[in-house]
Amino acid sequence: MAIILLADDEKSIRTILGALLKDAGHEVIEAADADEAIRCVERYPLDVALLDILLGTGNGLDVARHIHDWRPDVRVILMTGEPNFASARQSISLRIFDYLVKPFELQAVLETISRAAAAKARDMEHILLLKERERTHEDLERRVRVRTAELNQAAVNLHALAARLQVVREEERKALARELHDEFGQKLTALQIDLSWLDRKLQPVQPGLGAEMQDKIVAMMPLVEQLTEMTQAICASLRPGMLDDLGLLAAIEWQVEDCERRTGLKCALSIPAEDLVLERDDALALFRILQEALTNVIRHAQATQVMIRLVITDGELEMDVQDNGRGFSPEACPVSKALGLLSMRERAIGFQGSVNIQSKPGQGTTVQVRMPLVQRVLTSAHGGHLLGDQALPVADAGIRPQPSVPITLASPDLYPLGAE
Amino acid sequence: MKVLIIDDSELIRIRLVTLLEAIAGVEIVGQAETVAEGLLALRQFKPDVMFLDLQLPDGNGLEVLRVMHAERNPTVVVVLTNYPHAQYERRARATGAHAFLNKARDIFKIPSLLAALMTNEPPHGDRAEQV
Repeated sequence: MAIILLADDEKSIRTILGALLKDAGHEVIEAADADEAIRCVERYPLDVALLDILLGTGNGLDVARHIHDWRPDVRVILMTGEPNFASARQSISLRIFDYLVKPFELQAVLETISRAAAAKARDMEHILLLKERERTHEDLERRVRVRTAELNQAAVNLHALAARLQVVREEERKALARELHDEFGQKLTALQIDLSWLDRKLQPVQPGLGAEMQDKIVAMMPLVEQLTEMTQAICASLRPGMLDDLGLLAAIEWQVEDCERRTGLKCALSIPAEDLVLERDDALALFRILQEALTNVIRHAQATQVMIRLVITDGELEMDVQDNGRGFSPEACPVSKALGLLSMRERAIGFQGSVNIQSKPGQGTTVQVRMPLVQRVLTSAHGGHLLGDQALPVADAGIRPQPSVPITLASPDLYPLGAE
Repeated sequence: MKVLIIDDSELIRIRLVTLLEAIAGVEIVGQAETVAEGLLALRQFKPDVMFLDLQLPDGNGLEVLRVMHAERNPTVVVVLTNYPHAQYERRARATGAHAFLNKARDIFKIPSLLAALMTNEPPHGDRAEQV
């Protein structure tokens, strides 16, 4: 039941009403004046306050105001002799629940109290519901925040992991290429020189054993030659040393020529004539994206022609790889089949650039790579990487100003590689 | 004809020496394994012909060529490489390489190449001294 403050300066009324309310199952706290009543308000978890207007030297309305200000959940019922206009107006502003006009029926008191208690109980229920809802909401928000943070962190971790794996992979490839070159390449060359020496020693060819040996040597030479060339090709594909030695443009040119030679795909290449200094890792990333794009063309596009264009405009390097193949719907491409695209994008994230794929079924595919340049060029004064076919003298290999106008291409038209 | 060999592989240098010394008139004046050693040997021995590998431990043989080109060094340079790509060849020739040989298939060309060079005036011969 309810906890009720019964404030009346007449002891007889407190006794009668107190007994009545206790009988009805309520808990009753009595106060004989306003001060005591206010202390009770502060002290007990009241549901209903039954206040006499006249409380000794004080006033029931003061208590009602205190309740209104500090415990607005408590329902206030005023007991009054003759309600006048002033007290009625105050009552409205103090949100009095109801009045009991003396003299009152006991039954009416019980009824009013029980309505007030019920109203308070509904309030509590409502508040509990609101609190519960707020808690649930907060909990959900917190979980969303936590999950979002986890996802963001996971994305950051994945990018970092991908970048790290690329670095490790490049290092391994470099080491492998080095070993292959030193261990296989050099030894095969040694064999080749030996065969060449033997061949000369057996000149002029003599009949019998000499001729047979000569035949063997002549048969061995192309085998060693093939092995050496295979080793050379594997080394070059593992590690584009040309990037370090001759710069990005030469490496791109070689890659495109190599692609044309190996696959028969007709390749057109357009690159700037001007040099540009790029960070080594950026040059490598761009080069690997080109390789990936060409691999995609060869594997999936069923194209007969591919055009590779590299231009520098407006503080940005742009590389397009455009084929005339069967195209596809990038949106409909399942992730499992788009790993190549994903890997290109990861590479581009490394240089704060982007990879954009434009394709439609039947309309070929264009891979568009963008690399912001201004910052890059300015920061690459040390250990920079040549993007040109002309080595700079060491003293001159400093900051290269970003051209304010688009650089003229080597040729306004694409030049076919085979024509060289 | 004084010949210098720059190649980091001892296996190859030994064989090149054998191959070259069999040619009448050829004298191997020095061998080097790195870019730095190569440049020193070049100044010290003033060879007529130099065989130059590209992939060297401390850099690329193109660096040797670049320095020689800048210093107008008259030594005839024969590049001998396992990276026989056109881009390397263009750069090598642009900085003065006389020949660009693929280690996989051009070894046999060396004797005739040297013979041809010997029929001309060696660059560090009498005439070269006056330059």
